[in-house]
Amino acid sequence: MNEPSDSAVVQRVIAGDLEAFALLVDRHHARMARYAFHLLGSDAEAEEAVQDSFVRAYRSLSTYAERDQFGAWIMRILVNRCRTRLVRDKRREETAAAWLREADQTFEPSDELANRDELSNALAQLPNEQREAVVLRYADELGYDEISSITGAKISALKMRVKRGCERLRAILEASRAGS
Amino acid sequence: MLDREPFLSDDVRARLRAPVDLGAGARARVMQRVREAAALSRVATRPRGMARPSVLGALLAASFVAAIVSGGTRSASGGGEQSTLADTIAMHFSTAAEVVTKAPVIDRERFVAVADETRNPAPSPQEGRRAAKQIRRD
Repeated sequence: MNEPSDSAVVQRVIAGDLEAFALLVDRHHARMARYAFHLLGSDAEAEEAVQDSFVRAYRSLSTYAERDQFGAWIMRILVNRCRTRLVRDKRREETAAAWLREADQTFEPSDELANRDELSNALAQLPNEQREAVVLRYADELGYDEISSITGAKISALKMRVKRGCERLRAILEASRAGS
Repeated sequence: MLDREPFLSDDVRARLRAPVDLGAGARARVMQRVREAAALSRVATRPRGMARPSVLGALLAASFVAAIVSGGTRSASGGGEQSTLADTIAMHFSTAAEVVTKAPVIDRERFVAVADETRNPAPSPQEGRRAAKQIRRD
């Protein structure tokens, strides 16, 4: 039997079949978890971002117009969610660093950051825009037009971000291997 | 298409593509949160402690119409007629009509003041009446 399309499932959910939403969760959870983990660098943060994105998508389902492109739509929600978190985390880190500087102590990354594996650590050192583009390109294997529709960035800019991001990632990984 | 972009080694690409496990029951936890959100939205859309706005609006409109219709026969406690909304509106219309049809009053002192400001000679009483007539014709 053919699996119902995302658009058909969305119609069922709008009609009141809440449990049909589980089908959408099953289909899109893995790629969303991978993206969120690579962007945020922790299981807990990734899980929260993925949950928030699904809840947000559920709430906006009745107003969602592109019903045949649920995957791209929910990825857009997740990308925005991760951006918001990264901005918030950066602010927190800056505040913490400022407090520690005032107290004449050095800022050390949390255990969570220190315990990241080599790849996560290298990804974390990329600027957010480059990390986003590299992960969507190489973890999700998306075309530039799809990445553009998800991130809202121009294709030429995305190509540059991927190129520079990969160069930087390679350099970080090589330095890390040479040092160990 | 990706093969034409040899920016990353196969090893790194494979590690990027590797599934990420968010722990047992991660999908079930998503559905749990979605169910909670659905329950909350059902509660939020149900009106509580008050009539539905549409019913309330209909009641207000009906009472307003009834007040206007019955207002003409209503009497004040002192025995005299109490003016209704229609009476008040009619009074405003008749006052406005009186003002419009009344001849404008031209004050000679004002003419002189204007003449002082503009350095033009003030009109004589005859000229003033002519000016008033002109204004009336307009």
